[in-house]
Amino acid sequence: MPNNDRLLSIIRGRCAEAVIRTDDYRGDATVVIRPERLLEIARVLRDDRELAFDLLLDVTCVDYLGQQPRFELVYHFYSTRHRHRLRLKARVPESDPTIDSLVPLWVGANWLERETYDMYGICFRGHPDLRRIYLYEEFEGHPLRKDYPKEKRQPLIGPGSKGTYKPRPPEIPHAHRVEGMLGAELMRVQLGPSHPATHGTVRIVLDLDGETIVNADVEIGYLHRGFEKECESGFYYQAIPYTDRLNYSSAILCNVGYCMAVEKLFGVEVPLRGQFVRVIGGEISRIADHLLCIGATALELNAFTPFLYALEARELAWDLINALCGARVTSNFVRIGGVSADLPEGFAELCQQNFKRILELVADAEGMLLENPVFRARMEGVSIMSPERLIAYGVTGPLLRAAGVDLDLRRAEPYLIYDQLDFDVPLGSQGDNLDRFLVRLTELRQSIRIVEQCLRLIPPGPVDVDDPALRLPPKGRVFNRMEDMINQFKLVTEGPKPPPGEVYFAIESANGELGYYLVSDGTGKPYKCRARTPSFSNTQPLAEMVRGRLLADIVPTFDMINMIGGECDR
Amino acid sequence: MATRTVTVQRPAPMDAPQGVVRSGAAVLKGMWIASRHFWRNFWGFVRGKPTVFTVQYPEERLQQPPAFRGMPVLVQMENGKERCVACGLCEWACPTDCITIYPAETDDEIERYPRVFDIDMSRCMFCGLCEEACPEEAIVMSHRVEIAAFSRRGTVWHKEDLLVPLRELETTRFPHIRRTYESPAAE
Amino acid sequence: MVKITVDGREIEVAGDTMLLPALIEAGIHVPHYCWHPKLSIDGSCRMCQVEVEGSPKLVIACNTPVREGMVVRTDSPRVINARRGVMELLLVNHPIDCPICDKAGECLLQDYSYNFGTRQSRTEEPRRKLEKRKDIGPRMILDQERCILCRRCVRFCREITKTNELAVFNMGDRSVLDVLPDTPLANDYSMNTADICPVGALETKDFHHKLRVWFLKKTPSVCPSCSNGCNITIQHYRNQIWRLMPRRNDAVNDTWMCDHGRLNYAFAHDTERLRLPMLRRGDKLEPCGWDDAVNRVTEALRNAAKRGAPERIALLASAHFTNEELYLLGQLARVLELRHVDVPVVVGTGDGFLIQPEKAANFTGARELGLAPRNGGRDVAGILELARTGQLDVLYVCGADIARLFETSVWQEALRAVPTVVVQDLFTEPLGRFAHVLLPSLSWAEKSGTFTNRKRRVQQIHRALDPPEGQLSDGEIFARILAQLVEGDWRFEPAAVFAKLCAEFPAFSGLSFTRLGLHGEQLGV
Ligand code: SF4
Ligand code: SF4
Ligand code: SF4
Ligand code: SF4
Ligand code: FES
Repeated sequence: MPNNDRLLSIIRGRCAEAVIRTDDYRGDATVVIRPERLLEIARVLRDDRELAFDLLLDVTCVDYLGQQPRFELVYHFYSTRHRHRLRLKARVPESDPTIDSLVPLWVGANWLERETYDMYGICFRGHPDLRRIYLYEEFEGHPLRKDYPKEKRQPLIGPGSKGTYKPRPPEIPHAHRVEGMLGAELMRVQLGPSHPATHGTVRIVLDLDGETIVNADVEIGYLHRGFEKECESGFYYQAIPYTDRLNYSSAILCNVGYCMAVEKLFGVEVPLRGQFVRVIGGEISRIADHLLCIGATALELNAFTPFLYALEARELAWDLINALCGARVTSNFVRIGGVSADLPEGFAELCQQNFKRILELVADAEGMLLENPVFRARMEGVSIMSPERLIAYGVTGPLLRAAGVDLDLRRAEPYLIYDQLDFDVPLGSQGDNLDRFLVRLTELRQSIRIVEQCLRLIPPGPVDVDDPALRLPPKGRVFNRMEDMINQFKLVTEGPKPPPGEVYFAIESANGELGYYLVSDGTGKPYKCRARTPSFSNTQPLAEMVRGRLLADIVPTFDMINMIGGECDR
Repeated sequence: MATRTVTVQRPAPMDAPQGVVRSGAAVLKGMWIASRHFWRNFWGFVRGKPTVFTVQYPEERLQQPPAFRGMPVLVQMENGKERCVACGLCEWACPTDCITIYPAETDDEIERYPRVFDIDMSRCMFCGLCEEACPEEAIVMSHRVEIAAFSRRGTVWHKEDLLVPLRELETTRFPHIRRTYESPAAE
Repeated sequence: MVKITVDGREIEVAGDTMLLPALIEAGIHVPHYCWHPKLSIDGSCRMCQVEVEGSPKLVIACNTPVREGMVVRTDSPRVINARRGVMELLLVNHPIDCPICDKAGECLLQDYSYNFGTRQSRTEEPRRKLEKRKDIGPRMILDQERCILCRRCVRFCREITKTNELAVFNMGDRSVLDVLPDTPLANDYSMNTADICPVGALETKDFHHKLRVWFLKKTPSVCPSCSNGCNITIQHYRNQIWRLMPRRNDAVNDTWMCDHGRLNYAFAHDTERLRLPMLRRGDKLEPCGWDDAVNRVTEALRNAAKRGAPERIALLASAHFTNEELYLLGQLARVLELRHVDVPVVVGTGDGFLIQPEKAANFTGARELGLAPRNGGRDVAGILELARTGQLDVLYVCGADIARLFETSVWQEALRAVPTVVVQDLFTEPLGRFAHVLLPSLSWAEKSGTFTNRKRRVQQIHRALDPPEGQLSDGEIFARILAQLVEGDWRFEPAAVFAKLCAEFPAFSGLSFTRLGLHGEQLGV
């Protein structure tokens, strides 16, 4: 465990007058600062050798309607060197909701700040491109503000709208300027929002010089559905099915992260068997996720047969998930304080059988791809980005590990029972698309190894915490006992109520760090429920990765980024 | 910590001249893999034990595990009536607000019943939270999944459509319910 | 005021009360069943036990007087244990009825079990069997199994209504609550027993098995049924009222309301409500646009006024309108220099407690705003006489509850003789069918504004139900008519109109919409 006291005292020492308050709640180190000093403190956080917060994970805001000042900006940082975390907060008033942009220090702050601007109307001073990111320019108001009613409807952009979508104006580098000739202008091409070669709904506005990409503007938000607003309007337990729909190719991992964040708010830990079941479910989800990524990549590079093999293998993984929780995709498996069901009978045998076939199919798919000259030509050496640049963008997960950075939360800050397991964390050496592909292939096999270990090691016992304030009583007791009946009623109608406070909790999901930031006001509904999703941060560098490369390179790069629309757009 | 990092092994570069040879070999290997799959399926077909992965719905249907969550239905008791007493917990617990209940009084011993019990299947996401909330085990996730309809109104299922005899449910979802909701904390 | 120490915190409380009300006043929640602010002390439930320094045993806070320097603990292990014990005893014989009990969601047994009980039961014994669903009166039913014998209802019938219908029979663990033989619980306030019953033992037939309470949205309002102006909460869901409940206001209704008022709400969401304006074409009324209807009214008023005779126009309004609406009507009368203006009220019986003889909420408001015949104008009877004898060109009747003042035949004869009859009402019956212009009106649940009760207290009502899109409120109709007759800023916005009204009428001076709050304010002299 990192030493928060030491961390906080260093920060207090470095920037004493800028810090208003520090605290350490449930293991989260928090620093509250004066908003006007943000840039200065952020620079210290990043550049100080003892702090070295190189990863800006998240930027968001909490609307404390009725308080002065009203808006609280919340930043989450991580240090890949020291493996410690920090939350930074600063309040800005409603009359002037402005704060310095962190884009000069972390290029990845760009999208995060745009999102905060879109959702809360916070203005970031010095931001290079402050426009809405999910919603259209004509949208009135900022939907995550507490005084924006959830039921409010606005006409979608359409005929009669001003049509003010403004892609970044092309900055034509010198090499592409052809003076006074026909075709001197760049050609603008819209890739998407629905394009057969992108799995996910996203629009990429390209400025092409022939086949060469001069500029790319990635427009996301086509799958934005107000995840945070929806969670804030329901009870904690009602948000679990919505987390399924973040990364729908590995829903259980999203469930696990959310429920563990809520448990962190409560300060409880599920029993050992429950932890094993969560790891088993989560790793099978990771297998399914990687299989989809691998298969879809093959498909989009025109290799149809390996795609079918990968999907057949994924179907087998989904069969396991189905046996576990009754649905292939929308698992809704994990509960606050446990899981919805223990392992079904005969699960170990089923796993053994399906894993065997999955490995065969993966080997077949791999055998068809890795020596194939077309596949190699489109993957090898394509879209390399340096580890430092990736980190500045806030990239995590297989994408970052393929660039050789050893950052896997299961290893870096083991949660659940990962510290009791044997597994390898694959790293790449060159950081190109091929490395990214290979990292996923290896991780998939490691996940099978993890599940097999868990099935061997899993102890008997309960899967749920024995706490009537968290888990619904068994039905048998509800039917016959008064207190339990009442407890059932109250837990359903008012929901479990965590003590006031705030936590951030992250797991290693299939695409990287999936973190939840929850603020509790002591009621049964989250005051703020934020999902920091890897797809969002990982998609941001796409434009830079493909700039100067050929149009054809977008497809494999986008595949390897593995943007999942539900997770990216929330 | 028992984890370690490994660096993934990249295949040898495909430079000429061996690259040309390896490319040719790769084509042959691909054909070999694909034909293996073909023969496997073919033999399965000949032997009457198909190994084809695709299921020919609706002629064929998958056997679902007990945990399977299909559409939520109402348990119908032996006497033909619903077990539900219109307590409203499922209606409240449902994240998508797709259940509508109007309670009313009856002369039966249990004095209350749902006069109206509608589920809008176009909004239901088969999450099963209603089943967990129900204090009477009266709404359960069945193994039924066919909810397609030609109109918006057609996706609203009324009480009569939702009733499923207890006998059918006993062989599908109930084994799972018994196991998960009663054990392990029950004595 | 005396100082006491509660849970290590020193607070100041009134010196002449018992500990429980003092603690509640100070915002410290102590669970209790039998104590009620408006009833005598019973001391039977033992739920309110607290630890007081100096007394060896726990004491019940509801029957322990406050003393200077008292040191109280409401959260010590002993207190917590004692509550657990009480809860377990109460629940051991309680029927497992929550799924079919109307109280679930606002039941103190549920709340205290969840917050102060064990949450997990030790027993599974069969429960005692008593009478369920017992019909004990025209509006009430009793479930004896659920009763926890707190005797609030018994004290209510003894002390408030003095009718003594309810009593606890037998002794010890065989005690049951019941009505006396041949004495149904039928008094005019019987439904209050369901409010004060901490559990689901007493239930009103009206709300029985209707809706889960947690769906209800609550809007503070005032009962429109008589001039007492009892404070109520409109509880609504899906744009429909499900029940009215009294809201505490010690200056008006304590915590009670009468059964008649409580049950008088269904008209507000009746599907037969008039929702579109209508114009007469031949002998039929046909729906028309709002502009057409309002134009028609102004035209008729203007023509009649032009013909030289404000005498030939009469205005009748019901005392169900808010002060703001009546103020605009007053402006209309002033602009047209009308003399025949009356706001009559149906008079019934009162009982000297809450029920008042005037059967409309804002009767006093109308008087205060000077809406009465002036300069020799006629009252309602005189106006009808004028109408019958053909001396009126326009008769504008707002709010047809005043129809009850006379037989329908009297109205019929009078209205038939007037060339332009304008009726503004909730329904087509009883007067609408004689109208030439029929304007839909809004019920009290659909609008915001103020009522002045019989004791000259101005109290606010708030919109609970949403009228159909596009329907004008009564105030907006008056404002539109006024705007066509004279220049001026006639927009209808209750708060703004109220401010104007306060500036104009000395009795109202100094009041403001926001300051009225939940409990209203008294008019000046
Ligand atoms: S399954 Fe989920 S969405 Fe469907 S009715 Fe039940 S609670 Fe609602
Ligand atoms: S929770 Fe069960 S008993 Fe209650 S209304 Fe729903 S189905 Fe009926
Ligand atoms: S009185 Fe309260 S505890 Fe008893 S059945 Fe009704 S809701 Fe449940
Ligand atoms: S019926 Fe209700 S109010 Fe009356 S004694 Fe029983 S619990 Fe108390
Ligand atoms: S409230 Fe004090 S004994 Fe009942």
